[in-house]
Amino acid sequence: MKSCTKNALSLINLKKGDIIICIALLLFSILGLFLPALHAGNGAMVVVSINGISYTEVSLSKDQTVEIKGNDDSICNIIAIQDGQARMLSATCLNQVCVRQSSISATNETIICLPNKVIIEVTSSIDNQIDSVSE
Amino acid sequence: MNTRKITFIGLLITVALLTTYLEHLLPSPIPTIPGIKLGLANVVILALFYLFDGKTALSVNLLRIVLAGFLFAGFASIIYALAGGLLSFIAMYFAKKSTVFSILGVSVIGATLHNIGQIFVATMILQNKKLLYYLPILTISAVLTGLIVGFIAFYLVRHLDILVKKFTNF
Repeated sequence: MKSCTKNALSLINLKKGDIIICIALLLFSILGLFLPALHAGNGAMVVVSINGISYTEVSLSKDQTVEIKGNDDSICNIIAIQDGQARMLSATCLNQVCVRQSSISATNETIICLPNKVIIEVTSSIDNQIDSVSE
Repeated sequence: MNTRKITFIGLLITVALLTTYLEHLLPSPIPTIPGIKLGLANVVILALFYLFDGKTALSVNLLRIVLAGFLFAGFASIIYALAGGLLSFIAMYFAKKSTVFSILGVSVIGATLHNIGQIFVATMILQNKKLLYYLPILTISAVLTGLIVGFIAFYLVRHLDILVKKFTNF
């Protein structure tokens, strides 16, 4: 199989330009994959969801603490907003991974409490809810 | 232009149409843009480019795009496919002329520019800059499919070359 492709490549008369263009394109695309993350910018609010269902939206501009209570009394997470950043202040889960997470502030960043199924995500504003609609 | 050449090219147009149809049946990897496909039909276009000349390849490509649009892909896809096809053809023409690239390189260039053309037209029509974020992943897949298409086209050219020489010597 390997010798097959080697013969084929020599037959095709592979040139330097081919290799250069392939590597260049691949390099640029891989770099480009990171573009959305850089472009994100600071968020305007935090969307909280439990079990995939939207629970509440909290603005990042006002310092506050918000209690998130699940249907079950055992689920209670508290998030704290301070200086435009959000973090999990406390949670009723066993592993406390979410509490130890560093604060989030940029768009698309999230803190997830897996046991309690709570997700808080930073969004920029209304316009990013719908990407595009076409008929 | 003799009868044999016309028939031969006609058969190849059919092959190109069929591959386009098959690709059309596959689910589209990018939901918002109609017509972003793997581009396997370009095997035929590329082979024609190397067997005959740019004019033949271009006419077959345009014919295939319009016919496919009427038959199965939908009118919207014609605009995107034309944009991608024209841009990619111009690039392939100069790439081949420059002799810096082999058929593989030409194919990769054609594939990437086809995608870029489609995305740009889609961004303008849909007025949505977020579509541009698809470019990196599409370029990667274009490089890969470009290589595969180039490989297949190479073998196609090698085998058909003898046949073509037979009837163009009339």
